[in-house]
Amino acid sequence: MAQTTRELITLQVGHYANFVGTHWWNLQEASFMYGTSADTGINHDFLFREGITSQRQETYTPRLLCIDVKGSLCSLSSRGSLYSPPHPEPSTSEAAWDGPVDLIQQLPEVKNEYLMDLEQEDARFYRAADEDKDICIDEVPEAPFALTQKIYDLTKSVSVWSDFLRPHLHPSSIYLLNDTSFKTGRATSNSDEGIWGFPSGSAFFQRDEVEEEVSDRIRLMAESCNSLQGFQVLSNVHDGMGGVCYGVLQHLADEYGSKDSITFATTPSHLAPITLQARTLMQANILQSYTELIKLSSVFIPLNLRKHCWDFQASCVTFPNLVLLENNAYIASSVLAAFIDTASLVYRSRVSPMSLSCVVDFLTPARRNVVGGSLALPLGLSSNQGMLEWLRQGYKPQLVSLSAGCNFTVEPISELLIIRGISPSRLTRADTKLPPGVHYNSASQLYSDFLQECRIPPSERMVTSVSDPLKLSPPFPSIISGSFTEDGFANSFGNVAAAGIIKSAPSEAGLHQSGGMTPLLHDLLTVAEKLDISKVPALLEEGFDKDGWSGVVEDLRTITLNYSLNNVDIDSSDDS
Amino acid sequence: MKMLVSGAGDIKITKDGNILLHEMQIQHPTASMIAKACTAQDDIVGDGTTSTVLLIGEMLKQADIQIQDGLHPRLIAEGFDFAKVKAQEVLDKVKITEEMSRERLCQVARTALRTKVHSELADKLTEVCVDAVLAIKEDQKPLDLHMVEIAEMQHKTELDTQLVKGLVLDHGGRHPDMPKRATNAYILTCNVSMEYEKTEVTSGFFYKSAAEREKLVTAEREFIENRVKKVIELKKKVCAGNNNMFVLINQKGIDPMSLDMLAKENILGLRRAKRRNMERLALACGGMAVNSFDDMTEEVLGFAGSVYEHVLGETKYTFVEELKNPHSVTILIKGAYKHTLQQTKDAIRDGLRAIKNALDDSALVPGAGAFEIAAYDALMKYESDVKGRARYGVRAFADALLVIPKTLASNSGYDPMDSLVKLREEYKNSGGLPVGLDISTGEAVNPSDAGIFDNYCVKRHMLDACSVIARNLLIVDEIMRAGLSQLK
Repeated sequence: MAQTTRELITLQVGHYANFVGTHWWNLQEASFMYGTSADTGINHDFLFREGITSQRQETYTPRLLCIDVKGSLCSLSSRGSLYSPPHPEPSTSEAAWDGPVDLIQQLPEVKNEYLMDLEQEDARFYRAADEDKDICIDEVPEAPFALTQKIYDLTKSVSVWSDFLRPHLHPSSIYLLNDTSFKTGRATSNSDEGIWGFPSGSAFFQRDEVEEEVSDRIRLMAESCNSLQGFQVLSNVHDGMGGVCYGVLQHLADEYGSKDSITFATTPSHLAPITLQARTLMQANILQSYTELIKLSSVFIPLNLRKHCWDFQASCVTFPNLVLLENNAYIASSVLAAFIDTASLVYRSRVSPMSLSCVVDFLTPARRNVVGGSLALPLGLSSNQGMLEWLRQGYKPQLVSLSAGCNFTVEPISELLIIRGISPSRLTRADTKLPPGVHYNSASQLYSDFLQECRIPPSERMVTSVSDPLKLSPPFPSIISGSFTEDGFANSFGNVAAAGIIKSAPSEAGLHQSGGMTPLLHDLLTVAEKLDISKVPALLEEGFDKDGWSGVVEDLRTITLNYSLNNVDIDSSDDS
Repeated sequence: MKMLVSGAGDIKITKDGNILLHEMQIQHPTASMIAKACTAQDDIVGDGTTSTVLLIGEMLKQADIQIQDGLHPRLIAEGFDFAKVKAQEVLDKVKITEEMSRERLCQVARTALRTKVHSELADKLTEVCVDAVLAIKEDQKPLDLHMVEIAEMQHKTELDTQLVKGLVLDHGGRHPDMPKRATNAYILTCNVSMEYEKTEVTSGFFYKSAAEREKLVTAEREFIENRVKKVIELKKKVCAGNNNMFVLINQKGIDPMSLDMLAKENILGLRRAKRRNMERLALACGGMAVNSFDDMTEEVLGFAGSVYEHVLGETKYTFVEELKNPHSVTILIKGAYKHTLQQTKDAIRDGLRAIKNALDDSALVPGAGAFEIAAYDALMKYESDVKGRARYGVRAFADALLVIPKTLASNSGYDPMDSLVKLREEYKNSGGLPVGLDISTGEAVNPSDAGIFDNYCVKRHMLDACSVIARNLLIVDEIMRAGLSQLK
């Protein structure tokens, strides 16, 4: 049972969600092990699928559907270049037309250095394939080394997510919403900031052609899975994409009722709406998206680097050893991706994958399905220490909350910890004396025993470990500061990584069900109750209405009710 | 015809006004209003989008000339209203009401398609579209174009596009031992999960020991197995004593173990069928989709003469053909590139809409600019009956209508004014018979004889939309001007 591949389908809805997603797929591709010598603890078949192109080349592409607005891909063709190698020059003779054909060509988009290098690498492959059909794909992996050794500074040159996308996508993976059909002819009050509302998003999804196309692509992916266990959804919540995601989730609930879905709601930290109207619109979007998505997903994980989920000026969380530019989407999203990559190991590790439904059951007692996420990167373990010593010296991975600053240590109920990058040889030093009969095989065993001993709440805890570290090769930004060795351990001797390149790092991620989510929901509820839809024209224009909103408030209240210890508490606050 | 190449190399080939407008980033509010009118036209009738844009533009141009002469926009707007009513009267007069024969439908479809693709392909698609619609047409029932499935295959050339009197599903059997071909097959369509998974109702396993857990798992597994067994039972029952085969098409998933059981019984099992295809399957093969395997009888089964698989790269196609009385058919588009597929698909969509419109209206309008010439003539006569300055609006409207034959002429390489004179003279002498432009000779021709027809509802809607938009734009202009002068 445990050895069957239990596939998951990933959906990315919205531009920022795609930023995070792109980093995530890059991280995964970086952790691929070509050849069989090195054993990897990650089962990539859960998220990737094998395919074959019409040129009979084998492919390995993510089971992924990205939804974005048209025009946000820049240099990436919406069908990717994997299945249709770039054609040299479009010729007008391809048009099925007798008369004259106008060829209207946009200037090719400028590619950044990274993409050019990737392209060169691909070109080498295609040429090789042309010359000799027998060359097998196994020879290609030589190339990535050349790439990974180069350092790029993409901080400034990245403007859209496709600027740093490393894996090739399946041609049906990208679905672009034709935004011109809803942007044209609307009053300009908020269109200059490019925000559209939740209701217009969900209305847009309900258009026949959109819904049919999206559901058909999901269906095709589901058809290729032998035992699909669920969906991972990354979604924008601050704009109309929340509404689109709502539509998608509704479809999933309808068609794949028995599958679980785990939703990561990403809010970019670089948002800075200028006008009051735009700000209110965003807040309303966030409120409604949170409410609707919480209702529809099995587990809902808000992800936001700011300490407050809709205050766009709130300070950001800080990591002890990371330098984050919160206003740069490329860098800020990389941290979220590191979290998702680490946390998702719980259901995609090779040795003992937990089924998604177990994860869901574990994290959502009593219908509390809002779960906090946290990350420690790098762990802080030093290069000559065993993990046991390190823990005994009173250190602990410093998990930093990524869910809008939720404090997950308040009334913790259950938590899932995933620790990665500690190889068995690092657990203890050779000279450590263990009590008789105790033998540690994996970091998870050691860590959970340690936490048990220290009686750190909560009592319901599961620890998983994978020996693969987080591979920080480009295009992952170099965000780690401080003195660390090349493989991400704290440096004690002074063998600093050459030129500060850290190739990989151990990390830990946590999923927490705790009382810490209550303030977040309470705050949301208070704001939702205060917001008077009819007084803000921008909202009305986007299709929010009073009745709909009171429904949202009501739903939000129900959700919050699940989180309060004594329900009387909330009722009394209603009266006042 | 335009071939648009984006910066990333995505190609789009189109001539459709609506699609082109969607490719543009429109900022100007007037332009965006026109674009909206165009989208509405496309949504409602599916054709005449370019004409809409042309006509609105021309109406505004004509109105502008009058405004320059000092006529108030509101009077022109009023004139437009009168003219529209009159033009629609003319439209009703020239329309040809008759029973739609196959030939007539071909003519109207050909007229629509020839503007989208080259003539060889247009003729091919005309046959395909008309046959498709006639196949799904049922008396006394509204026509549902959804019952014409459009499938794409990136394969061969666009001239290999064909009508499949049956269904093409874009997936195949997922088990190596399953039959690739089935003749005289019973078809069971269902929406029942055949996957081992947690139940649809929220529940969990509660167990005390590993053995107990195993037991629960097997019990759960058995539950699914029973479902598969029921299907196999039915297969055995209906296929006993004959050589018929059995095909199972499921909207939900089928897991490898169930597939294995089915394969052993030589049943072809397809999982995760498109929801709409379930409906189509029932119409095409007969039988009906079941939601539970309890108490199944032979009546729920459909029947197909031939079911076979076609593999193209990583995609499998399953053809369900040789049906007794298919009420749902598939148009299988082929083409070498994605963008040619898309172009053909757009054309087919327009062709189907044109046929549907013709059937719904049971009336046609002679094409090739004939209606516009007739309407112009009628409006010029009507002008003198209109009292006051609004008559200039009527004239502007009449002049604007002529843009359609003018564009036709200039597109086919003739002098527009020259052709216009010819047409009007011919119309005067014809005594009320419709006169259109023959684009191959540049001479006047009777469109009914040449078999050039437009849809009645397209023209009607176009007149409506254009006059309303033009009118609104004119009046908005006036308001804007008032505002500006106040600011000074």
